[in-house]
Order: sequence, then C-alpha cells, then structure tokens
Amino acid sequence: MNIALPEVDLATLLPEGILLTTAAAILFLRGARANGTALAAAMAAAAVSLLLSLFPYPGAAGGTFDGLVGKDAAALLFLVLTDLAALAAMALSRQETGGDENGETYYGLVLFALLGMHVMVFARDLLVIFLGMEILALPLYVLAGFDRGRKEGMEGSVKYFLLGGFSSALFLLGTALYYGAAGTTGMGGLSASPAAPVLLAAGLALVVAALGFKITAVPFHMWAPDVYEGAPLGVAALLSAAPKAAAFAVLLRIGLAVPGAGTDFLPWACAVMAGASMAVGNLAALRQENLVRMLAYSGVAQGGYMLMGLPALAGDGSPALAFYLLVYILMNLGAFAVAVTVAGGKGGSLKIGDLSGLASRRPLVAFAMAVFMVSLAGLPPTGGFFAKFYMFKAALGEGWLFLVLLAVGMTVVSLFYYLRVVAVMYMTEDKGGRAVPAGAPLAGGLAALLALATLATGILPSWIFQGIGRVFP
Amino acid sequence: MSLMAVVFTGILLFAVGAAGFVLRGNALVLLLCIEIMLNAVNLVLAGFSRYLYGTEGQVFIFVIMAAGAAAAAVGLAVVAALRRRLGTADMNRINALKG
Repeated sequence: MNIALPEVDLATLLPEGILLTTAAAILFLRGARANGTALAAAMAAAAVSLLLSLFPYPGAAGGTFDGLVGKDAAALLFLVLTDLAALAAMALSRQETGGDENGETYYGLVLFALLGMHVMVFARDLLVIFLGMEILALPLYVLAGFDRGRKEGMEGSVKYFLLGGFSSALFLLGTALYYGAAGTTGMGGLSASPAAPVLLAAGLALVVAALGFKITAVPFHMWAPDVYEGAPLGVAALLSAAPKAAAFAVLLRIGLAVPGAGTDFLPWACAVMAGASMAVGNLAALRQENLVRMLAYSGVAQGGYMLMGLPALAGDGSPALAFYLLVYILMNLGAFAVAVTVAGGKGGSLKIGDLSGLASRRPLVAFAMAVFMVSLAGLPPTGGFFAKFYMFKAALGEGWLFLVLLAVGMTVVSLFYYLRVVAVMYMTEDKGGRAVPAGAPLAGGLAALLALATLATGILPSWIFQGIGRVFP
Repeated sequence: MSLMAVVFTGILLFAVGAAGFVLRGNALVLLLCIEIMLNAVNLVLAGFSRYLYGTEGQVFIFVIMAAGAAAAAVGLAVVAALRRRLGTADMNRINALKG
C-alpha cells in the first residue's frame, strides 16, 4: 500500500494558529482582571491576524493540506473583512460583559467563531467548509444567549440553534449529493461535465440554501430579527456582518469554481434570492419600532443588494461584492456602535424613539449615526452610495436590468426608515426622561473611527475599488 | 440492495426528519429531528462510497458524527438553560420575540 503524505505547510495557517491558541488560552483565564485581559488579548490576536492577511508575509498565500486549504489573494481579502468585523464587534462588547463573572469566555468564543470563518473562507472542499460553518456556529449559539438575565436572549439562542442545525443538515445533504455526482467534495475537480447533472444541481441548490441562512437571504431570514434582538448588542453586530462575509466568500468560490452542466441555475437562484431579500427586508424594516430589529431587516435587504454580485460574476460582480461588504461592515458596525453608546444597558430592546433629541444631547454621536444611516440608504457622499453604484453597474453590465430596477425602487423605499432615524435624532425634542449614559468610551471612539472610514470610502471609492479589483483574476 | 435503494432510503429518512422539524414544537424533539437528518446524510454518503467511490465517503461519516456530537452538546446545554429559565421547551408557546 502506498500512502502519499499530504504536503503540509503550516506557515500558511499562522493567523489561524494565533487565533486558536489565544482563544484556548482565554478560556483558562481566572481572577478579577480576567475580563479586561481577555478583551485585550482577543483584540490583539484578531488585529495580528488582520495585519498578517492585509500585508501578507512570504508564504501567507498558498495551497496546502492536499488541496483542502487554499489561500489566494481573494481569500486573504475576505479574511481581512471577517477580522475587521470581529475586531469592531469585540470593541463593542466591553459593557455587555462587564458584570458577568464569566465575561472572559465571551471573547474566547468570539475568537473561535472568527476561526470558523477563516476556515470557511480558505477551504476548497465542501466538507471542510462544513466544519468551518460548525466552528463558526457553535460559539455563536452560546453567545446569542450570553445575557442569561434576558429571556429573549435564551429564546433567540434556542431558535438560532435549531434553525442553524437545520441549515447544517441541508448543507450536509447537499454535500452528500454533490459527492454522489462528482465523486469528490473538492470544488476544483469538476472541469469535466459531471455524470449526473441533476444530482449535482440538487446538491448545489441545498448548499446554496444553507449558505442563505448565514447571509439571512429571504426565504431563510426568519431567525435574524429574533436572534439580534435577544443577543447582546456586540454579538448582534458580529452576527450582522462577519458570517455574511464568510458565506459570500464561499458563494463566490462555488460560483467561480463550478461551471458547466448542472450549475446553470445558480445565477437565477441568486437573482431570485437577491430580489426577494431586497423586497422583504426593506418592507419589513419600514414598520419596526425597535432599532435592532430595524437593523436586522436592513441587514436582510443589504444582503439582497450584495447577492446581486453573484449573477454578475462574469463581469465586475466579485469586486463589487467585496467593496460592498467592506462598506457594509464599516457602516453597519458603526450603527451598532452608536446603539451601544446610547443603549446604556437596554441591549436589544432599544427603541428608535429612544434616540429622540440625541443631536442636542450628544451632537457627535448623532452626527456619526446620521453618516451611517445616509450610507446605509445609499446616498452620496458616503461609501454606501458607491457600493450600490458599483453593484448596480456590474449587474447592468451582465444584463440584469429588472433586478437593478427592483433594487433602485427598494432603495427609495429604504430612505423612509433610514432617514426616519435621522429625523428622530435631529427634529424631535428630547423628552428628558432618560438619563444619558456616560460610559462606553470604546464604542464611542469606534463609532467616530467608523464614521470617518465610511466617509473615506465615499471620497476615495475608485482607489479602493481598483485595489480590490486587482485581487480577483 | 442497489445504490438507488440506499440513497432513496437516506433521502426518505431525511424527509422524515425535516417533516418532524416542521411539525413538532418541543425543542428536544426538534434536536432529535436534526440528528435524524444528519444520520440520513450519513446513510447517503455510505451508499455512494460503497457502490461508487470507495472508502473516502465513509471517512466523511466520522467527521459528520463528530460535528453532530459537538452540536448536540451545545444544543442540549442551550435547551436546558431555556427550560430552566422559562419552565417549558415548547417552541410554540415561547414567543416573547415578535415582529
């Protein structure tokens, strides 16, 4: 028997090694200062991982483990995006974990989830992607119910677990059917036409549906508002951005790697999900009074805009999608950062009305929120405008006119609820009922930083877009 | 026993699990339904690897069993915490989150 040992190049997995060891070490922290230490260590690990992907060291890119793992320039870009989202989400979590005696575990779990996203991004094999999804999901089930004092948190956690487990099962059945059609779970080995196109199509459809859960695409979005509302705000911020980046990396890989018979339905499937997400997300967000639920439905809609990049992969779809994700992470986490600074322990039950008169109480915070809302609505001069612009242009270039028309119409609808937040902040009197919470300097600083970044992506869009475009072959 | 018999049995079992997931309300039963679905996938994989592609698919089964066990551990903990907090694990009666 002749066993060829796979070529193992651990240097490629250096960032993941750092994340894993730090996450494991944090679980052993004890003592009065464990919480702060864990926050600092976790943020340092995520920052190092981000820098290692942003400025690749020799050997950072490359394939290893017999082709199961492949880091190319695009994978590194998505790793940067997931690290950025996780880093910002951790900075928002200081208040949430302050009073909890197990607060340090929180940051370890976030790092484990980040590790799972890394695995999803660089895996080249459906089974390894499944493992990444589980490593991502298991810590998040716990994190969603981390605030044990709120029964909404427990409810959201169980709902998330059940629907997440259901989507995992769908993904696995899809993987099994793909294996039956292709004889491998790898995504590179399908250059020849498969023996059973129908089986392959069914398998890929199930895989895409399961990924739809992660990006909260309609009709797989039902869990998102409940889970976001029940979860600590930092976890909701993480959930709203980071898993989307990882799942879109997988969808791009599937879309790019599997051409031919049995896969021609993929662009249409993505287009239908995109249209449905835009319509349902925007219309449902219109009638939300709760700020976090509004952001959840807004995230569904934004996921729909991002899905438009997938049918346009032949054109500029992939750089448009990556640019949109970057801007989305900046503006959405920014909105959550503002929510944390004004929530003062109310967590996910923060109402839009609670922002009334914010402009006179805390003008800088209100201005930052206005920037994020204008950007989410897609108005210039913010990054959100150019994200939509590049996305619509890419979709038009591939002939998806009706999809772009629907997207433009839905963008107009979205103006109502985004600008309503701005109007509440600037045009209503402060009722004076609620004391202004003083703390959360970390979240306030992050909101300022993200507002500047959102404006910067609106001022230098073509420079950033070209930089991202160089990544995709 | 042909390949098709094994695969269709697996898919039927998966459908049973999925139907249970949709129809039942108790969180523990839903957890069981997910386990049924995972094992249905294992059956499909075993069928494909036995009749078509060799041992590779049987290795996948162990990976899936390990991941399923980890998910069950987390899931049972979460459901137990919910039951202790709310006194019931019936998802049809737990509806604080609406909108």
